[in-house]
Amino acid sequence: MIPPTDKTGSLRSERRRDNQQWLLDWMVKTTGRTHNFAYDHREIPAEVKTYRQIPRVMEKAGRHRQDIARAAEAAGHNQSACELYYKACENYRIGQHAIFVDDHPDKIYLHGKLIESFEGCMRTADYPIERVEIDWEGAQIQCNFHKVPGGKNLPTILSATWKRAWLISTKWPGRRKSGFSRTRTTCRGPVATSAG
Amino acid sequence: MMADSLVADWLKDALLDKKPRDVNKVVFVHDRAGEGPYSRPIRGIEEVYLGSRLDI
Repeated sequence: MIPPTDKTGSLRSERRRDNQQWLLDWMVKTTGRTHNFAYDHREIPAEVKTYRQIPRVMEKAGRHRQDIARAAEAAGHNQSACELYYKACENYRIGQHAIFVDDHPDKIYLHGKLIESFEGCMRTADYPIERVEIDWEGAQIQCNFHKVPGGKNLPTILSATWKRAWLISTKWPGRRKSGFSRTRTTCRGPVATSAG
Repeated sequence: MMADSLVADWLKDALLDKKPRDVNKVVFVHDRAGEGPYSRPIRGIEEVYLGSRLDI
């Protein structure tokens, strides 16, 4: 029997994919990706040799980018800052993605850094971005609202990246406490529109 | 690794005449830490030698 996930910091997963750890490690090393192994684009540095190294290495890369972004912002270089903050977001996102344990402290920390970095994007972007929650059938969908500068009464697109994100945000609202679901429902979101 | 994230804000500064008069400075850009091109200027390459950093 597979032991239940504890909340003590252990990365042991309750899913059976842990039994195949050697294969997952090999795929990460050869493809440089956490998932979607068929894609050619590497998103993890060659420094990562096993799956469990991913959060540590990606946190370090994200922190570096965030440091440069802060310095760029302080120098008034908003365009560079925005790009760097977004890349830091991606590093933190990939880092937390590799932790399968819901509410794991490292996952929550990395997700918090992701949100913090995205706040940098919101500050430095050349158009307004706001965080909003949309009521939907008794649940709230968390989104980033990208406004068209100066626009009024423009059509608005609500975009959920994939069905699973939609289900997490609408059918299992209790799970939004974990870093996992918030990542899915906020940063990849939406979209275009109007300032009303 | 970082160069792809840095866009030409410096060029915009130059066109708007916001660059300082003296642009002759040396910066140590660490590969995995620090503030990249925004790091504090150093006197020269000898400042990043291990001996100098350990003050020996």
